[in-house]
Amino acid sequence: MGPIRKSKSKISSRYPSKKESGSRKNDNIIFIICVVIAFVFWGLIKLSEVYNVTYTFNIEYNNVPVEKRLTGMVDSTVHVNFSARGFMVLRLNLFEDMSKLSIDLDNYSMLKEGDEYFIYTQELRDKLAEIIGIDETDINFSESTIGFMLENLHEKVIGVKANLSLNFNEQYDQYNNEIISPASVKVYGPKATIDTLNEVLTQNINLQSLDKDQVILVGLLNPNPRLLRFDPDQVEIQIRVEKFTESSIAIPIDLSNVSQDIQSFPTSVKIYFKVAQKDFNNIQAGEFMVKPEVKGVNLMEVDRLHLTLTRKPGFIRNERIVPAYVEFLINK
Amino acid sequence: MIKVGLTGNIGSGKSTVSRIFSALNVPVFIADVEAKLLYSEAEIKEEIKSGIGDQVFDSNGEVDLKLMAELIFNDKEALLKINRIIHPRTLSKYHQWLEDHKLHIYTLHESAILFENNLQDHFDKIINISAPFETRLIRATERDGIEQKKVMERMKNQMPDEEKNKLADFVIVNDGNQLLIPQVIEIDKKLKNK
Repeated sequence: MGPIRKSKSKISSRYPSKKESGSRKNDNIIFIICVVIAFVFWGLIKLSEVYNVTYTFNIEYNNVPVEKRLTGMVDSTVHVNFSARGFMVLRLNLFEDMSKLSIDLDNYSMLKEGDEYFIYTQELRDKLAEIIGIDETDINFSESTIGFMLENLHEKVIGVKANLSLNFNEQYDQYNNEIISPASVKVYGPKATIDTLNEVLTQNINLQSLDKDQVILVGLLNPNPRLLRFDPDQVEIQIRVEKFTESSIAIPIDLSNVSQDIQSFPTSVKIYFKVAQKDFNNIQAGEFMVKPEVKGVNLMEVDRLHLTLTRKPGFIRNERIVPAYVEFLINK
Repeated sequence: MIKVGLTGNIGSGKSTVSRIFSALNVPVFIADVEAKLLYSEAEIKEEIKSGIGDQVFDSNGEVDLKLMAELIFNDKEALLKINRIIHPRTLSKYHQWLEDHKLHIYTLHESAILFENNLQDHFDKIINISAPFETRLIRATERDGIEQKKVMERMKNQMPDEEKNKLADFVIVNDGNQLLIPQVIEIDKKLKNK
């Protein structure tokens, strides 16, 4: 029994007990935590220090004058030297958007030299100071100007056509053609491209169950945004909606355009049409005229003549003549 | 002289066919028009008043033809009374009219209710204008501006087209597809060659 006990004691000295092992693990964790805390403090101290750095911003131009097109960039980047805290330098490097310098050409005076345009980098100080979060006096540019190429675009005034999908409540309909303001816009672009344009469509507008007037502000559909610009690029569309009713009126057939003396059967027809309720009382028979179509027709060879409405009030629609054809006899 | 009766149900196109015959120089007596003229005669108005009362008279003391139509289509007794007043006089006018046109080869008497009033014996030949029910219904509704229901009520009082076709000597089909003038000219030729 004795030797066996000795052997057990030897094993326990070579391998730490459970208690000892847990204690060492805790020591390691505490050590790692201390290292991390030290690193964090070191980082914070370093980031709060002021560094003098040269940073490269990618240039992006916005609001190019409507009559011009950006065709190239002489300088696509600008090198800026500035002093800033480490936090800001880290931020600039971490976030891609921060490295983009958007230049709104509306806000800067452009100078022209040959085919090139340029703006003074000094004018960008304010904007950069705002982006970086430092005083503008701490910013220095490596270039005094940044250049870009603008092409003069051709101008053409083109009419706007509404692209509407309208659906009305029962009995309601569009009263007259929609009013587009402005009715035409200036289109800028290369001559060859704008010469092919005859109309400018609006974005499609889908309106359902209409029963009252509509006024909509809608953008224009640019078939080639890379090359074409519109001024203005949106228009106002006014749609008048009215309640309509079906009506009819009997009208005698006017045969004054027939060279021969004929009698038609019947002598009068009925005109069916749709009319806005507000115009219903303005309908007068004298405003209608129905004549047979005789141009190019040999009366000896036909049995019937097709009737056409040669005069009608402007406010009626969907008109139809009943009957549409009449028989006739030539008086001898 | 051949006495020809021209008939056809409501919306069949009697007026148009009559006008075509007129254009061919055939005298046409339109019974409905002549009957309406009678309503303005003082003697007739008195007889109507004593027969059915003053329910069909307007504020000016004239016969309101719309009210009259409403009444006679809904009241068979009133219809009989009016017929007894109007028809003998219309026939009398017709016979006088025939005297005025006796030199013509034939004359036409247009009446919607020729068979219904057993007037067929007054004529040598009868022409019926035939048209499909639906076509007549649409024509009458659109022409008179009244509801289809009311037109159908009036149609019920008329002899069916098929029966009239059997009793007629000539049938003119006015279905909107067949030409009317050639059919009229054909009948005109036949009557003039008799």
